[in-house]
Amino acid sequence: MDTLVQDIISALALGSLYAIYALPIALLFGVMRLINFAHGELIMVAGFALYLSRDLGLASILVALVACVVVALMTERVAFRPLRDANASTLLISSFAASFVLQNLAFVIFGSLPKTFSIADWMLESVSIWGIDVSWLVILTIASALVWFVLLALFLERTTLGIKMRAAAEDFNMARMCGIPANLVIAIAFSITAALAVTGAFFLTMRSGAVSPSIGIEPVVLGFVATVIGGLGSLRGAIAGAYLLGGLTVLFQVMLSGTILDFRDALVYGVVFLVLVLRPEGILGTATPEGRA
Amino acid sequence: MSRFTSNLVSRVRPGHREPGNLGFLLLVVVAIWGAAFMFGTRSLVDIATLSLIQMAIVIGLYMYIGESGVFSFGHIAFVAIGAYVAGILCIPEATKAVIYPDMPGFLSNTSTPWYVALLAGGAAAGILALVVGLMTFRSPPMNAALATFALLLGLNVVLEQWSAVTNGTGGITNIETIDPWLALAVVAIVITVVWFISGTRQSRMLRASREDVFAARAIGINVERLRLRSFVSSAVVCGLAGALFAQTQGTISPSLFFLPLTLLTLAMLVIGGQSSLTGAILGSVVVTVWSEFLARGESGDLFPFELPASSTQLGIGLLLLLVLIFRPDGLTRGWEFLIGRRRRGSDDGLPPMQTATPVSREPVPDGGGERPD
Amino acid sequence: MLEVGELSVRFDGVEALRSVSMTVPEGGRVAVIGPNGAGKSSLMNLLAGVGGKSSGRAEFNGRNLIGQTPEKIVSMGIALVPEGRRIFGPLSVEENLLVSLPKADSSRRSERLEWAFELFPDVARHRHDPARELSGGEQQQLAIARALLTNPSLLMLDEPSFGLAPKVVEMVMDALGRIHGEGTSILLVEQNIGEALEFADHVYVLSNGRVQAEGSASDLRQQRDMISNLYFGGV
Repeated sequence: MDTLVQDIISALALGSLYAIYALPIALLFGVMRLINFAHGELIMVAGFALYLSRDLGLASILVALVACVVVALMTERVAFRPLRDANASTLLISSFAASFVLQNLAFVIFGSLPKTFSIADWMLESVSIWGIDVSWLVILTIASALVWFVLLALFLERTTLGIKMRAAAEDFNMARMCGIPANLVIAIAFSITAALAVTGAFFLTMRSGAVSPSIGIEPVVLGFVATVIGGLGSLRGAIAGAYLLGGLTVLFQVMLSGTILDFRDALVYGVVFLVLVLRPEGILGTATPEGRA
Repeated sequence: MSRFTSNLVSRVRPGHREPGNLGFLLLVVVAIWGAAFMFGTRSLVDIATLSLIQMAIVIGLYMYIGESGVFSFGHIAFVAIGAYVAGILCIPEATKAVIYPDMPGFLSNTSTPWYVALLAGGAAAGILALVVGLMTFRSPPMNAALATFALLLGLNVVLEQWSAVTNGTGGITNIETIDPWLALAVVAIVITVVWFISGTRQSRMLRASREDVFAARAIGINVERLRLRSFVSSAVVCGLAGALFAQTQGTISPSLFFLPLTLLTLAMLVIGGQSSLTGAILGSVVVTVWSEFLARGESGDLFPFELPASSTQLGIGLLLLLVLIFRPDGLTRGWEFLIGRRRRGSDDGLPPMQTATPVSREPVPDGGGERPD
Repeated sequence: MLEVGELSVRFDGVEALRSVSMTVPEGGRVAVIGPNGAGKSSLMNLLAGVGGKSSGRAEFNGRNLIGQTPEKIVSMGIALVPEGRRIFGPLSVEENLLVSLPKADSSRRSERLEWAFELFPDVARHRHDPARELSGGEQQQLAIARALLTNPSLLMLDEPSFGLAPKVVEMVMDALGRIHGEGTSILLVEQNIGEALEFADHVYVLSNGRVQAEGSASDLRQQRDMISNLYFGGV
């Protein structure tokens, strides 16, 4: 019984982390029809910013935030704005290219060896709740995700800017014809993804204890997978997809063994493939349909 | 018929792909690589061989992405299949038994001549593509593109984990290599075949659908079926290229057929100009030269200082970004090398494909879009 | 107010408009009619800032329109109610209206919303419902209200009667009449000749990308035959 509860908590923690990876992907897809593979590199930049300012303790998060927002806005300006009217595939290649450039820039600057560091060692300590041992890291991961969900919901539904962003996500050009400044909406969207990147990078580096130029690849792929499973473009779907993915991961870990377990990731990608082909609106059916004006 | 469809019909005319044009293209390719093989140092021959294989991959990409206008981000999966199938078949049996004792019986006992392995690689890729293609060809282009990406991701895991057959991350070594001249011959044959396929009526119809999906459908072109066909044939070419890769490099591993190669070959295609075969060829040459230049810089041969490591990769990424932003049609802008009646615009009088249009409208999936009146 | 001179527009490699010239005077009610494919929407899209490559002149109160972003054009005082209405489906009716409310008006938000709801009581009934649940006629009214909240001096509408029952069309046209009465100039693009001729002062007939005829509405009412020919006599 104990292990079941432990497993559920692990699944929730993993799902929360995946949700933090997935939300920015879903957000940018909703507003710009762009799958931003360069988001992985935003996480990497945040990770390095945390590493470089690690002596500041938790204040390093602020440093990372500033760095990330700057890089995000720059990437948008350079790699995406000139292509704003291009088709979705061109944008996708551009996001690949941007991701590649940022990663290699980091290789050039920092080299390929991981740098170990830790900002808040106390997070790895466990605390006993109702007889179950949970680490602070796990508690904070789940809590941060919930806070993000609430903040995003409030922003999108209660603020004028949020409403304008939802309008832009629904029909970008029409929103412009209503006077909504395109550049501002996009800048805000990218800034939100930067903040999410910092959150994700924080928990990622705390868990692994290190940062390297390629730490962003896995999160962005996970975010992509979760978003697709939940339905491209839907924020709610991305969250659901993330927790589903987290649950599946733990489930496979527990139930499968031996050789099949090794192929777990391949099974997940297979599911992604099937969802894209058979049920593009996502398992929840909440996605924005493709190619709609 | 509306203005738009009548325009399109007039574009799908008999093509002008005379043999002389192909000959010139082949001559250029053979001349460049032949010279490298004959007069180059050992390392130049290696570089040239690798770039030849990369060009073959890009030609495969052109056959689908270039002709149909639909993107695929997972075609390297087909290259990987070709490489592994051919690679496993080309290890001498004795070695196989020793180094890969876990390999299932029939694989362990088989060892074939290089050309059989080559064809097997191509065929295996084609079969996988048929299965995958049948599932994706009715999906919207964006979904299909992402689905192929999922395929690449999944295959990468399989290659890393199925150690009995693939030897996992260690990869397969001890593959019997072939003479680079043989590879050049194969590539020349591939170019010839692709050239002729490109000139067929089906290919012209596919390119017409690339320009204007609605009009193409309106005049009865079965766009989905044509896309499926080109998807499979492009996979076969990629499989052949993969097989050649294994047979010229001697060792393969899963990481070689993943994201960096995807980006490299897509960069070559886009930079050269994705709408023409000439573009595919030119793009590979340009990117190879550029990356060689940077590699020399990294080892300090070029400047009084050493370029930092990874500058080559960085340089390729930057070049791709620049092209995407400033010249999205690539260097050739759809121009196909054709001596004769028409030079500018493509062979069928089709205007070059614009990937970034000045029209401010909703980003739409490939081949789609609202048409105002 | 709006001056279009020798305007040609290329869209997807095809010339959608050829050397079109027209004017909308201050306080005017102008209609552009013509069959499918005539180029009417290309004209609207260009004027709203989402058009294609063009040559020629398009000016609003002396200021150039070509190449301006849609947001800029809205701030210059032009609002477009596009073909197909394009209301923001998942957003509520009220949210649809809030989207176009300019920053300057945000302190008078409820006042402006009430003004819009008064003009279109049918829409007011669905204030908090998702916009996609409204009927065609209600959506059309919502789209007009949304455009009006940007305080345009020129309101452009692309086929507002499309898909609407005659009674609803009448209601929409009445609303347009009232809007005009309050000082907004109107440029209307329509396939429905009858409504257009009734509403407008001045009419342009567009076919094959060119202005085939123009004149006051009363004059053109006499030339029904000529117009039918343009519609049915082939492209």
